[in-house]
Amino acid sequence: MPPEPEPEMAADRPDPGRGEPAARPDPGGGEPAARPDPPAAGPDGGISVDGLSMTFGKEPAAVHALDDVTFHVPQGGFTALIGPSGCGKSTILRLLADLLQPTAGRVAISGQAPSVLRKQRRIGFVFQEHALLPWRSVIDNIRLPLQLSGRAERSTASTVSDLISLVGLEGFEHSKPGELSGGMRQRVSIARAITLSPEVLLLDEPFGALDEITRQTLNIELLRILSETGTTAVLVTHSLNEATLLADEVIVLSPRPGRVEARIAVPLERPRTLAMMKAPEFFHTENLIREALFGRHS
Amino acid sequence: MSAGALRRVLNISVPRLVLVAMVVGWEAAHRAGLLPTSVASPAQIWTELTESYNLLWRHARPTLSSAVWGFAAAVLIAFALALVVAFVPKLNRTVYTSAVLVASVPLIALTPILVLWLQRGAQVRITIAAIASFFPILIGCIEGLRQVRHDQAELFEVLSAPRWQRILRLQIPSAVPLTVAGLRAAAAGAVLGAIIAEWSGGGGALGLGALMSSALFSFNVPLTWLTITAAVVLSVGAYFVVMALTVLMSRKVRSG
Repeated sequence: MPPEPEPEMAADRPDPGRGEPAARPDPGGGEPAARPDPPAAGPDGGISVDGLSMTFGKEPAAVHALDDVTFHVPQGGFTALIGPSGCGKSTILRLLADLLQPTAGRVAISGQAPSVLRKQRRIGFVFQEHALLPWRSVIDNIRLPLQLSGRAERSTASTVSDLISLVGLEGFEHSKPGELSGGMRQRVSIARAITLSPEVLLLDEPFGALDEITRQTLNIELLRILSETGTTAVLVTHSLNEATLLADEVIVLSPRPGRVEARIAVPLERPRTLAMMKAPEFFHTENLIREALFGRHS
Repeated sequence: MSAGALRRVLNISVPRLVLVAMVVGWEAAHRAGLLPTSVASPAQIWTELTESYNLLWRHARPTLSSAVWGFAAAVLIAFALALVVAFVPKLNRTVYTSAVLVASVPLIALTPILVLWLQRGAQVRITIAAIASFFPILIGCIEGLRQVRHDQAELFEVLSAPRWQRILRLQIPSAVPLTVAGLRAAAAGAVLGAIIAEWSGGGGALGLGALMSSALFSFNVPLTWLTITAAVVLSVGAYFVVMALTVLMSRKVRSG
């Protein structure tokens, strides 16, 4: 019953073999470059996700990770993706980052394909387990994107020291990741992700392994950094609380295949503060997310 | 004494105690007549060492230098091949298969063939030492270059890093632990390879292997055992030298 992506895909690309399961035109191996028309720019740039479907592997062992996911993140906006394990949240981030190619549907960031942005190094990614290089010091980890982009020597000194003070790591420049706490490692990871001033910042459960106190401190710091840089952000999280505190809009996904279950706007002003977590609107929004997640039986 | 210092002392002294106990037990067994006449006692080996010190050194020197040069050649070739495989992953199977073939050739049979081709001398000893130590180094490097964490690989992809940058800044530093393990495993092989080449006449009349075989065939039991002991000492020494060098190497590679 689930393989909905079939008609999706057929709608996206004309397919003579439509309707015959035997003539399934290999959605997995499809090349994204061959898409008929370039994705149109969203109303104001930002991130446009339109009819995104993702199937891993081939029938009969295929796993349908995402089915017809559509949403839009305005320029400078902050969207949180929340959902149970296996709802394809991380897959969406990897499709946005051009680390995976969708089976169907399209993604546009500032009107361009993710592959274009990735090649121009305009995407920042913060990984779940920081993905720092343990043999490099804090400063050298933050410098890495500059080195890889061949811009190492010019802007380095000022850029990197600005970043270090932006994420509050003065005095730890020459420490190795192994000598830092979990929260400090994620600070380094965030600094590294914004070293090249990317247009979008993709965060894959960056604070999931941290304790509640550290997490909330970092949440507020992340918002401060984003407001200083004006970067559009998409956050994958398991935490209702974090989603509500950070996002303008929370997208709730259903499990296997991931579909958009609900879109919930967060009616809190910016800049956000931890005190807002005590406001009735905060509880109300959190409850809306909870209902969308657990539905009728909650 | 701190716990760390105590542990350090124990780490050093326990293996030493075991070694001393083995030597004492060996000597005792010999005096009790429990060992065949073809086994020399530690005391006999010691006496032999004091008498033939110069002879032993004259033969150990070429063995040592062959092992060092053979090891160096093996390291260069293995590193180069591993880098080629890192740049062209398709070659992985080809390189592996050829390396297994080379490593499987019986060195004792290869020596006479090499003698016919290269003439007797250092070149044969070095070649055999290189072949004997090559395989673990290569496997360590190739597998090491593949030990990249998934999220770190994704990071380099998001940053659109060119392949050479990925190899230089991610794969090589990630390869250090397994490369070091391969180098350590190969150290003793270089010494034994050189000795095999000498033993089967590939190195001319010089070398520990040559001394060992001449002592053996003239039933000079203490000298035979002295050369065996010297071979063991050289191999163990090679292991520790390589270990010290690899510690320096890891620091260097991983600091940049």
